[in-house]
Amino acid sequence: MKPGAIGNLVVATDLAEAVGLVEEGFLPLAGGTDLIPRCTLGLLDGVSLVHISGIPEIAMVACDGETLSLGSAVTLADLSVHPSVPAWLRAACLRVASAGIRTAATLGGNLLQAPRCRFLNRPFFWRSAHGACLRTGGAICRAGGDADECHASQRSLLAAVLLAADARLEFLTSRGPTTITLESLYPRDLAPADLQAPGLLSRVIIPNSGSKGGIRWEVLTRRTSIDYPEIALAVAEISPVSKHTPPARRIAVSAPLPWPRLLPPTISDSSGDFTDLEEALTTIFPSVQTGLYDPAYLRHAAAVLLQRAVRRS
Amino acid sequence: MARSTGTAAFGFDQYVADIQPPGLLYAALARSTKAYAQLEKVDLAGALSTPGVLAAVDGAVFHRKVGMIPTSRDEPPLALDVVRYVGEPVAAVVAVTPEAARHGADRVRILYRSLPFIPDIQASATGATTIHASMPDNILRDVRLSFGPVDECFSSAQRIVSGSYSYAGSTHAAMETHGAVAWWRPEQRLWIWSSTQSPFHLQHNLACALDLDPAAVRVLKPKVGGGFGGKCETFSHEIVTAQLSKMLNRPVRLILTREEVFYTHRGRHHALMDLRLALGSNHEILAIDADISLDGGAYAGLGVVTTHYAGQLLAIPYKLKALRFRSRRYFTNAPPAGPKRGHGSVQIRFAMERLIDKAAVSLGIDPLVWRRELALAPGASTVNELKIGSTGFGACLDRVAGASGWFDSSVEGEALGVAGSAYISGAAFPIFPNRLPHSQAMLRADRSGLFTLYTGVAEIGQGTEHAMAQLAAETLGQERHRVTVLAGDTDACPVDLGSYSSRVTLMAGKSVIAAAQEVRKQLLRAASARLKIPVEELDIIPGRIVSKADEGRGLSLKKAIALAEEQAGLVLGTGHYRPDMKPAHYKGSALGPSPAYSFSAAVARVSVDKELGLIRVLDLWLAHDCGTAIDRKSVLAQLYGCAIMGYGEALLESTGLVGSVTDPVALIDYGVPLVGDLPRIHPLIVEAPDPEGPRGAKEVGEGPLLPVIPAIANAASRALGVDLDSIPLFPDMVLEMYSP
Repeated sequence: MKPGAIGNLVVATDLAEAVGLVEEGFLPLAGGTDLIPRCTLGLLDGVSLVHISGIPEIAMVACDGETLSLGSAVTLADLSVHPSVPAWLRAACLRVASAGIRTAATLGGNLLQAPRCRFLNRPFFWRSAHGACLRTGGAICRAGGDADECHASQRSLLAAVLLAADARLEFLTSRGPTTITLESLYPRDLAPADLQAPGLLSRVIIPNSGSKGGIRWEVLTRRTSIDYPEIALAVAEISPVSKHTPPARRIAVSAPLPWPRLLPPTISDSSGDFTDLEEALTTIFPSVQTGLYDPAYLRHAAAVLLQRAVRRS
Repeated sequence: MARSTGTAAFGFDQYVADIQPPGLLYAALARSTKAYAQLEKVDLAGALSTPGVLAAVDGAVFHRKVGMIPTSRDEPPLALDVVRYVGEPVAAVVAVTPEAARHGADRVRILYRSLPFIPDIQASATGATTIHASMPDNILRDVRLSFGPVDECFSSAQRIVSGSYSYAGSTHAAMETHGAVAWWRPEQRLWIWSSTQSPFHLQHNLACALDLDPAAVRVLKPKVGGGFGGKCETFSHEIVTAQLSKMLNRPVRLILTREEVFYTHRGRHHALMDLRLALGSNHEILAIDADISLDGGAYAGLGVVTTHYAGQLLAIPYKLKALRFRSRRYFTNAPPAGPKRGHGSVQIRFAMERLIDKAAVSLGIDPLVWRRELALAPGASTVNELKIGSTGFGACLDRVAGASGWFDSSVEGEALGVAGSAYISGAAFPIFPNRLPHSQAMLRADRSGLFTLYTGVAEIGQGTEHAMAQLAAETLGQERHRVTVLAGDTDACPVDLGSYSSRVTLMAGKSVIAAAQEVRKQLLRAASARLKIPVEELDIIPGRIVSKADEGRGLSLKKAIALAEEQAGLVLGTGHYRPDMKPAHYKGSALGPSPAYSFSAAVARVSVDKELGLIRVLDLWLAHDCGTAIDRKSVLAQLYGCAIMGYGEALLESTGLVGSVTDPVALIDYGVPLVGDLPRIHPLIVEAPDPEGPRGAKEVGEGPLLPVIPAIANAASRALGVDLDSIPLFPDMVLEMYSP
């Protein structure tokens, strides 16, 4: 019942101002579909925000033949109908949240969204009754049976899809642009910290080569819209270097993992087949329930969905 | 007073949050963060020193516990000495702004001494910890009733089929949250606007809680954005705003947040059920033996009714020779459960319909055909002495069978499931035992040619006022737009007990027809005198009273009303209704009897993703015998609503404790279905007019929900070849029950 307060809110008049404010510690606010609920729940308190959604340089889609460049402030609704955006990404955008939310939610916001947990994304009073967790100043993870590591999960379908697509991110700082792989954005551990973005995310760059037949993705949600994914994964078949080279795959999973990540190549054998996938996922998937469903079920379901995605490719 | 305008869609209507008396103050509640604890101290100093806060109170200002049932009033308006669930109101703060009130409430310091809490039925049943000192076994009510030769039936049965079933709790998810505006007036009367389903019960209960004469309480019910049973009871926020307004002599408003609605709860009871069926040589049901355990949460509420309905309504819609049930409602340290659409009956109907299907499988017979053979006949009396009037149950089964292609060959990967049910059209006996009418109406003819209907019915979005206007207009031979409904004001309107137990159409409808008939007689008499035509040779048509033999001979309605006024003054008709019934000669017999019973049947067509345990409902056919459809559009709307709510309960929704705290507490996390989730819904209206109903009408608001859930479960069970006996059918649980 105790919402967090917002400190400063500045509407950036241009890109340079936005970049400067982000360097001062302002959080970029575009659609607000992740940030504002976190403020409302009291998960962010006293933060300063810079509103960036009106800046044209980061709200465009461009295609130069080699790459597709998607502005971080483009809404998912716009992406879902843009003719330059590949069908697999348009379809994935349409599977995020609901039509109303997609008109506000942006690509950048989706990729940078905070991890969620059934013990975290709850109102202040509810959390007070449970006691604080690692992310709210406590010493234990409530989801993890009082464990000392956080089990929240970033539940972005688009992160899995773009990881599989080998996307890169461009960040702007006052020193100029920096490009990193999407994979390197996400930590590999369970650290209960927010993402450390190296500047203002300006563009998501997707190479047009590399993946054969597009990206196949699967998502498991309770309802067909609104809900965050319980499982989100994507598969890209990589064109072989030569006809003697076996085909490779890039497999990415976000929910229910703490952060989206590529699965190791050892998840399948040299011929590309999976052997006891469910068992293999045991070492990767969380052993505690952070969403709606039992962890054992999620491992099983992820194995099923992954094999379906591979079969479709 | 709420005036029926039909303008809800335009946003003109006023809900309780729109009520803004002069000098309005705002209240907020401080709630318990402990599931079960002694209150060592409630320190209001921090709240009182908060800028803008004018007053703060704790439970000590109230002297009476409240509750809907006179014999089980156990709930303090604000916790006193003990808190029994997380979210229980402990203190209230009133301030000049909502923000100041909230801030003040957050600064109430509550010191607890924690006690071991009881999370569920199993823990409650051990009795190791007692939630209410007066209930050492943690059971609000243990109903044991037996009708007919149960043991004989089981010992002579050709086959005995049994099963154990579980049904999760769920919430109502009404669009509008609860809220109240109370105003202690200079004339020493309390006015209270509330989002309530029962204005007259609220009047009575508020008077009891605050030691007032009921005449000092005026309840005004503005438009209500849905209730589904969740707004039947009298709540802390209503009593607290009234008390604070009286203290400060200013109006006070308290609108609950969505989170607070989840703590307030009164939703579906979590139920554990064991059932046995004794079947005879001709596949007839000889006897049902049921053992039902309900998780009632921390307080009684309407739980006595729930406990009885769970067993009593097993006697319909099938013929049986004997019935025995034991139904217990346990206290736990959870928010109190209560009435939700299909009160008390939804859980046991799921269990019964699953068991019927299980029996059909073991007998190798068609479950739909068998249900038809088992159906009670019109005019039947059940083993527990429920009197059936009309029944369209067979027709309901025929309609869903025909529409769904039940007897056609099945499609690979899909399965059909069927279920049937029956429900009450109002309770024959009121909550407060008395011989007073359950519903009264007053109809006034105006010399302008219009009519005003004064009724106590509580329109909560279900179209009740529309239906009442329709009944009055039809009785008067006029178009519906000539009748304006004035309702929802206990000062101005005659008593109606409220929108619960699916009682309004039948009970208020009867009283409205009676009032309209009286007005009709007065108008015909006046016209007869002027036209020199006998009353019986006159007819009323829209806008005129005419000779049946010669429609050219007549006079305008306005003229007739003016003539009637000349003769006898105000043209006014009154009507009332009280079921002409007596309880049977056993304890508990007052719960279950109804003037009329509605009947329903559903068929669901599902496909199941066997690898993931995902059930996809493709089609839902839902047939309901509403006696007579007074307004077909409204009946269809209720059928759609029941189908959607049933679908949600079957597959998506549940509430329960996570640790000691109820969860979820936001709609984003609660699985109420969205439009994109829904199957194709095929509503089918069946009309078996009941002699007791107004123009033969019976209920439609709750009964059609009942068969939806078991029809889905039966279809999924058939698709997988396993018994899915636990609701909701979450995929992880389905997969656990199903091993390919």
